[in-house]
Amino acid sequence: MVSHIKWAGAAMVGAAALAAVGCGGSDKTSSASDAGSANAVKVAIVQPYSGDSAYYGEYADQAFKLAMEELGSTPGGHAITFVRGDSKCVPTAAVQAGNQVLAQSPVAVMAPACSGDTLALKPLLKARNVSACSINLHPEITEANGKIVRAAPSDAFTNELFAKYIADKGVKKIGILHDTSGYGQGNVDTLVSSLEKNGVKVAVNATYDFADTDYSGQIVKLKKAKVDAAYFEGYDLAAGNLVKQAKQLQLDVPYYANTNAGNDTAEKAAGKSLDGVLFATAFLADSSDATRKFTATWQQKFNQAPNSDSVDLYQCAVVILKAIEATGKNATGATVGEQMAKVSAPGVTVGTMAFDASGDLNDPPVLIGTWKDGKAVLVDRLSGAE
Amino acid sequence: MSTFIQAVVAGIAAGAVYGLLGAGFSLAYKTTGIINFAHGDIAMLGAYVTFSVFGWGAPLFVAALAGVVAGGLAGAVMERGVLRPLYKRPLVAGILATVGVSVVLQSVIQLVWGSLPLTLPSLASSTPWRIGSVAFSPAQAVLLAVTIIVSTALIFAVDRTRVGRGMRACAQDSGVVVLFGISPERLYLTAFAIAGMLAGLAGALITPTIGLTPSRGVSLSVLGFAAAVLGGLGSVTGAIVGGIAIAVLRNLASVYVSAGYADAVAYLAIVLVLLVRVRGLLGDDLETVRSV
Repeated sequence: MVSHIKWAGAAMVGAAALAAVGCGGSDKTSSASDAGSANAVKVAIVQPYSGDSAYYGEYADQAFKLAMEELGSTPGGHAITFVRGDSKCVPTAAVQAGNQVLAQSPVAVMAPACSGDTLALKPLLKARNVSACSINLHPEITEANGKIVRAAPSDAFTNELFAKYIADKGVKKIGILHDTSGYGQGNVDTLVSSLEKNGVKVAVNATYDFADTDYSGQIVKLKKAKVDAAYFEGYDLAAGNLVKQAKQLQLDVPYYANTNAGNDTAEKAAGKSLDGVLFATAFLADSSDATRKFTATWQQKFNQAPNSDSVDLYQCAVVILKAIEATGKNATGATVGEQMAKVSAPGVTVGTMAFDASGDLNDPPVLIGTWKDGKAVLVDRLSGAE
Repeated sequence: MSTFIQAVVAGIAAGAVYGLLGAGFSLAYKTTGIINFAHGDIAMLGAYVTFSVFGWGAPLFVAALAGVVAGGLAGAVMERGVLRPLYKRPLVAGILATVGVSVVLQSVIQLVWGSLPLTLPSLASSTPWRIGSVAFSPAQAVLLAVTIIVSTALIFAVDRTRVGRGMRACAQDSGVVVLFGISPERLYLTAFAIAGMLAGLAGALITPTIGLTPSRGVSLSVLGFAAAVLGGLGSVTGAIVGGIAIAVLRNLASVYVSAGYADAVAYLAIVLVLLVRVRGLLGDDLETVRSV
């Protein structure tokens, strides 16, 4: 009997642990105010809430919390209920989570932070006539008359400018190392085509897997090709680990990197190795008054420094709230979507967020940053007004 | 030629940790017949404990020791609390239970430490020495030295001590060791505790390279299991050799074939080795007979 009680207790503890981290389901619901009122609307947040990318879910919740404190919790008189789906940064899980939350008829969706997940969700959004705001950088996220607006610059835009910047530095032969995610592939495809247009030869274009624990083989390949610059693409930890390992293996060439190299996690992973690495990004904490103010607010409220992802998620939260506000009483997926497409809302990385016909930001910012003594600093501004 | 040497040297350093993971797999399997799929998650638990203790101000070396102890405790608790009640059930029940433990450990790690990626500094400097045109860092040297010392001690313990001989005897017939006054249950507990300590050590050693994320243990389990199988399940020496062989093969495939096919080439090589030599590189005949 004692044994049975012991096992039942253990099972309950295990089940509680699983439920608490979201492994058991993907449709957690929370109310920001009086969800039972006649004007209540639902907003879906589809993000990784479990697994190695679960911090995106945390950022998304924080983004809405801050945005609602600043803009009001009942935009247009609508109380907001959040329905959450756990996309896990896995496209198949994103589709499952998307189906679950869309079945609850949300008026808008905050799209997953992982590009592959959002690409998988696109047909569902169209079928349900619901619009989403995305922070994904993959070029195929937005399209003419699509259902997605993007609160961050597309990699197609960023990398066109970044490639020219790299070419202008005198680079003739570059080696590229990237992950095999939807984002990683899209990022590198746009960079490679732009580099080639600018006369830079891509001597090595090697991949690594998320699960990899060692990149030395790929880095040695870059050394063997005698490249005169290297470009490393990776999510936060990988972005730092790649640079650190390349320095350990004495790949003595200038390094370039994607936006994630500007995040604190990358700096913690790589330390001093990141000093001098040039990365293209839309957000640097110290690049304008607006970013400085936002950084101080976020840091104070959540006890962590914001990064390009958390800033873009905040911008998405603002877009969604402003669109709901603009619809007035008749807030549906269709009407909120129309308002999202023509919204004009205050941003952090841009003064005013407004979107073109494809759903991409007008005048998106592209900054070149680097690390110096543990601080990300602005090197150059390639696009976007300060 | 220097490219080849660099790929091999870097592979040996990376593979040493895979070998430690594989040695833990082998030790637990050798004694209980159970393949522990939570092994990589125990490694991550050890790494997270190392992170916390280091964060409290302890020197990194002491923090790593705390991680090793945490790994050992986790292994012992797992054996005593989850596996022991299942020993009289079919072996597959115990193996499936380890998969469950893996999921629970990931959840517990996420609950306690959160999902934000974390990092740890290396036990030694990562600024490389240059030997000719080959780079090799003090951090890699420490990693290799620790692996050599620990695996040598482990091999000695398994081959020459009463407990070690008991473990090997358990593999043959757990009923027989009772006749010699040895408790199989105690051996099982010891084996899982030592395997857990090896996992904790591997976690603390590999974290400066890969960082800390809650689900990372799964990929470590795969690497450790592959190292143990290639080396010969049940052979500690084989696991170390297997781990190094996998890492070196991956590196050479990345350099001379394609990084996209590195895993495929490495694991195809494992399949070929096992087709020719079913007991693995250094596995003994006993394991072959047992598996048949």
